[in-house]
Amino acid sequence: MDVKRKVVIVITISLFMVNFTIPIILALKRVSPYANTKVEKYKFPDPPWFAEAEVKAKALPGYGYACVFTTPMARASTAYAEVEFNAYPVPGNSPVLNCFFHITGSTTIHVKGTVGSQGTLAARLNVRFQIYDYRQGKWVPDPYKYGLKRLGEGVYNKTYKISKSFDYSNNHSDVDKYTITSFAEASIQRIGGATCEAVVDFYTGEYPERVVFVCSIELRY
Amino acid sequence: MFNRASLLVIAIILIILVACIFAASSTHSTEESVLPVNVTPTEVVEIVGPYTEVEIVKGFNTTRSNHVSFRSKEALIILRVKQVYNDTETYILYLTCISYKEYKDLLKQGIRWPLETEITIEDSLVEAIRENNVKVLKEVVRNIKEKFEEFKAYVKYTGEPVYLFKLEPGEEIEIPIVLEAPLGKVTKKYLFGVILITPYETDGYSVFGAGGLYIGP
Repeated sequence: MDVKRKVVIVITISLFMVNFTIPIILALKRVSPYANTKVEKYKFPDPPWFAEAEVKAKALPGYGYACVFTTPMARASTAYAEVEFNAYPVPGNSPVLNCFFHITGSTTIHVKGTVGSQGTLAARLNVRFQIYDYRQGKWVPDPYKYGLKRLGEGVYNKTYKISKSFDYSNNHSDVDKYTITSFAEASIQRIGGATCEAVVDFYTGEYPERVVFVCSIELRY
Repeated sequence: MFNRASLLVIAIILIILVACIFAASSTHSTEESVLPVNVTPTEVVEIVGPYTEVEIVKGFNTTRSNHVSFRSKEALIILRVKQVYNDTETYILYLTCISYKEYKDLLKQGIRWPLETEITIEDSLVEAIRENNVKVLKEVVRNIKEKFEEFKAYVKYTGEPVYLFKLEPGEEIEIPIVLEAPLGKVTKKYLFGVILITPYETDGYSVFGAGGLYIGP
């Protein structure tokens, strides 16, 4: 085998290894802890008919906790409470991933509590993740990239691991990077009496590992 | 086959790459946190959405990203869906639409389209499929169609904005979706979304964004 051919083969093998290793390195670096939350409460209509929405939330690096409680009492009303983990994502302070063709969003959420409905009342607990894109200098939720579990009436003490891969190959040149955020939402609609009370823990990693990382954004490879 | 120098180059590159991996993974060591002591192991439910991809086939001009405008009265896109989870799953696909102005107004109030605005439609679709209730299905299809102002959208196989399908592990399918604008254009900007629901889960159901387009004049 001549020298030129050997050089070509060596370079090819090297590039092949680099091609597979860079995504692995980036994926390993993907997760960083954060501890910022945003709590929202809504009551409809305004003024609400005795609707109540209570939220307690705490976020520590690698672990988040939310207690959501809603009770519309009388007349037609909706009480809605939401906790967003990794709220206000900030470049440099959030787990981000730069420009790849396919990404996977995933989050692990533990739900413990009661979602109770009465008659025509509809109490509901949603747990979900949302991909945010960094476009033109700010983070915006991508309306097409999310995954959620909608829980109806029942008593819960379960862990839900939700994930989905998304395509970014189709002309997403205006997106610089991506991050992910998790939500716990409790809502009650129609005429009141139902309750929704749940404690929701957020973390990733295999439950119940003691070392956990909140929210991940991964490459699909 | 290779001389010693070539093997040495490959070995050095391998060592550098392995070192990089270890360097990257070692950053986790300072990121530990401990769960509360009262957390006990429970059942883990794994919900894995399918991999999805939207491809524009014809009838659209693409400006930037997934921003498009009608080039003719009829456009065609394909939704590719691949079942990545090792289990058979049934999906409801439905199409939805909102004007960009309404989308931005909702966002200012902290309400995200479509996942916080389409709950009634998703509830009804799940109920209709689970209970095989044609009356509810017809009603919800009518409600979905009302969301489309200047153009209509439907799955080519059914002629409706709703489609039910089942995927085996590893199976990949292509679903053609037709968008028709009688004027060959729209007068304002819209967000068009493709959404998947898994109706047969034990606790409630799951919803996944599968893709979408920003359709402008």
